[in-house]
Amino acid sequence: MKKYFFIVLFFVFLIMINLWIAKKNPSEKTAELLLTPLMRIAQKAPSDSIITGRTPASTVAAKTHYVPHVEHSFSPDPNVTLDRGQILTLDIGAIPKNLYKPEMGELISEDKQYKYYKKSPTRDSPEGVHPVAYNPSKNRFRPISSVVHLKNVNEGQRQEILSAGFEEYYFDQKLKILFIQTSATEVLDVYQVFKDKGLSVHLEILALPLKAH
Amino acid sequence: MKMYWLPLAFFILQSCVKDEGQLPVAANLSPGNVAPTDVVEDSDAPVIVVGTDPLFAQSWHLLNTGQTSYSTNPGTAGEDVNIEEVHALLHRGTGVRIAVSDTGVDTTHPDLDDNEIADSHRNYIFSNSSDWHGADPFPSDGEAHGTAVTGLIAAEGWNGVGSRGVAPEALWSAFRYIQDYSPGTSSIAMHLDQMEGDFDIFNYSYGSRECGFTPLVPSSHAKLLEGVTTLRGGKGAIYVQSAGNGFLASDNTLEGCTGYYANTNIDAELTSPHKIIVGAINALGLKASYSTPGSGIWVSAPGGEDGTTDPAMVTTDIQGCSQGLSIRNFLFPTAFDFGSHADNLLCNYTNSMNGTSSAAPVVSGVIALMLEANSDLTFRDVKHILAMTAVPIDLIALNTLNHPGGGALDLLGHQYDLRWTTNNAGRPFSNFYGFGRVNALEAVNEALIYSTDLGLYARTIDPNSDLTYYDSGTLVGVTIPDNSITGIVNSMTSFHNYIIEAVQVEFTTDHPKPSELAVHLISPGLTTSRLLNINSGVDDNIIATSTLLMTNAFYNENSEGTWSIQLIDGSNTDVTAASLTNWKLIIHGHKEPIPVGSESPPTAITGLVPNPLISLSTTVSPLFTITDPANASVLRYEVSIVDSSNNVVADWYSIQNSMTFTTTLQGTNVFADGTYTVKVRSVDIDEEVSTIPFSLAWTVNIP
Repeated sequence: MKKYFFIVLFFVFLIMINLWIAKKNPSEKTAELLLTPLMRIAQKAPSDSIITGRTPASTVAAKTHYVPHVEHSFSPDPNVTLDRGQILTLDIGAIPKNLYKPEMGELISEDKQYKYYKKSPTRDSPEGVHPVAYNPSKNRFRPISSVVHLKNVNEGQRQEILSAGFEEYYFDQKLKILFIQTSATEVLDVYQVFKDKGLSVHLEILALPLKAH
Repeated sequence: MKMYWLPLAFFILQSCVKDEGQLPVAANLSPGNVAPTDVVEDSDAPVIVVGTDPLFAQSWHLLNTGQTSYSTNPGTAGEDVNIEEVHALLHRGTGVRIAVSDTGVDTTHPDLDDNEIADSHRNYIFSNSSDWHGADPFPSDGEAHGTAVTGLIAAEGWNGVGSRGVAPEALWSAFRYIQDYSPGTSSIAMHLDQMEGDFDIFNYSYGSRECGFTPLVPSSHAKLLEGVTTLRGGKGAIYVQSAGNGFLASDNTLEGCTGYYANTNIDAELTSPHKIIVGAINALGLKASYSTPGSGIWVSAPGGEDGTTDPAMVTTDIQGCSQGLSIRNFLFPTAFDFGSHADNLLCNYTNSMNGTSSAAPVVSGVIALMLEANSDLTFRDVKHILAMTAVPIDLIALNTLNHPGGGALDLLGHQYDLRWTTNNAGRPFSNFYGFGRVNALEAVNEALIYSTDLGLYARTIDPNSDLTYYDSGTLVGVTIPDNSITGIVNSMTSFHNYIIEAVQVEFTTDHPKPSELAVHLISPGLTTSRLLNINSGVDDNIIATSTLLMTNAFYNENSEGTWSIQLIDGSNTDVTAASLTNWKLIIHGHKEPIPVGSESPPTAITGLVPNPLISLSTTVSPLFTITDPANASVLRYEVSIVDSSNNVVADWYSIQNSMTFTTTLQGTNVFADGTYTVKVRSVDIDEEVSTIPFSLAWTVNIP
């Protein structure tokens, strides 16, 4: 009998816990609301900007793939080449979801980890806001890693680079790839420094996590 | 509001009921009171398990007796990896070192801890790379995958608890690698680092989330090549990876795809011949329902099904009933879950681990047994033995001749899958199973007596310039007809007479719907391999540009002769002007051993006649015709150009093994009027160069 009393007590306890959780997490509902309306940018795109989402969405709709209908505009950086035709954006920032605040700028898109927002031209980005790459074929934004890659770096060059004050993140001696740690705010500047020196420098677009099989 | 409380209530109810149950006999087992031999028990009831590993009786992958492994349905007796005798002969993987790159591992698990390589773990969760090595790899809540994988490889044997690994005396190290990346880190640096180290085997039970052609990371393939040629004292580390669980559109967590019929060739990480790609089979000895097929698969191994209806894999779980696989499945728990079964009161084990994630560690375990039996085996030896000893299975089933998605996705008159084919060298191969189900006993026996000389590894890429010898160039007018079973065929000729170990194809098409395309490759021996199937559902937003595919179907055939690529459009969605615009062929293999004393490195080339001697402009590429009567053993020609002051304008660079070539000269000096000297030398199949290069003065008059 005593045992059943505890079972009932547990049920009551669990129901209360769930009610509390539901009350504490209105973000679920908010997130649903954000999905469609906030992915559209009402303001007119500047003439040199890219408007995404229109063509892929219309052609893909009838097919087996689902690409969210996202329309937004941004200015591409013509000076930077990324892998596979991806585009570096000038005016979009990526920030971990829990750090985003609406006053930072208009929300463009989000994924599991990050929110992507239109940076205000009159306001400096706070710490932790990363540059963003846009993948036209996937209609998808991803943050740029603050680690830059330098290829074909021999030991002498490596020492020269490090003695100039750059911080090594990792060095693959066999493949001669030097990874340099920068910060979210400095990564593009560091990229440009190495590029100007004629080195084979690359930005890394943050990968999606692997999937355990 | 979500019903958070339901599963939790279920768990609590089960715990309460369990408290009144009888203490199972299995729980009383200890190394001191166990019987000396295993007794296989078919029933799921909490009966006396008298083996020294109480869960061995339900480990169908080790010994399939038709047990249910705590699910509803039994398997088929005999459909296992044939390992019992191997263990009995004391081949247990002793001392072989395996890196399990996964979600991390419960290092204190009593069925794992004695095989742990202390201080060897890595944890890539740290943002500072100097913290990666030697770090505790304990997983976060819910990441039980790595613990299950490690148990399948190297759970301790005959220790009175749990089951046992395929290599129960192998040593393991855990890399906590699968994670959400932080932007302050580099996933590529982590990826390269986890392919390196003092290990014999690297187990990768993971893959891409993408359903489009994933971008090839060249450094990753380069690292693999480096690993299989330099690690293990030059014998090469063995990289084992799961094929994926994307068959039958069941994997909806892949990014942006539905209706996706996965293929190993869609993930660029699975297109390297320097990995052993593993497919999964179930306890009936058939392809597991989810297992991703593809010509890149080398062998298959048990991976199981869901564990509720049909047997999955019995293996280690994160300890305790508060986390791990054994408390994950709220809606359809197995009889083994939530500590409700007498054999698993502490929730230290699971019977619901499945996937090609389970198949890969089974193969890693078998390889550990082979390496213990013969530590001299190279990476290529291991592959060779696995292929030669694997058992072709599921020989008569015909249900996959049609598209698995149904008739609407079929193409009338076109056979979707070839099932088992026997290639021109007599090797059976299947895109579902590779060379078949891995056979531990035969593989270990072969390892013990192995004497095959595979010769030097070679591939049809210039080692000095990365030039691919066989390149179609830009094709014009090679149109892919819509909805046609004949498609388009394009051919090129290989002059290399390698014994094939693998073949890669890189192709580019402007087809706007690559999801419709099948890619077939036909060898000089007239063997056909399906590299991609029609109507795969691959993401059409990513056009196939320099897309790399790989096939093992031609293993041991000879590479010399005509190769043909065939592209078939499997849908009538009115694509009218799609073309194959380029393809390249890369053959991996070795040469026939040359009889001692008959080697004949090329000497001076004679009879070269550059034609015509032309006046260059900055826009003209000169065309030469080479006449070399003694070119039979030539692999390629190399060209160098110097100016009248003997300054090098173009250092030795390769041209294909062709009698005709064009070249665009590099460097500013060549654009001045003057006389240059063109030198040509030959290189034979042993990379020996002709001792006296042919030279010719060449006058350039800039208009």
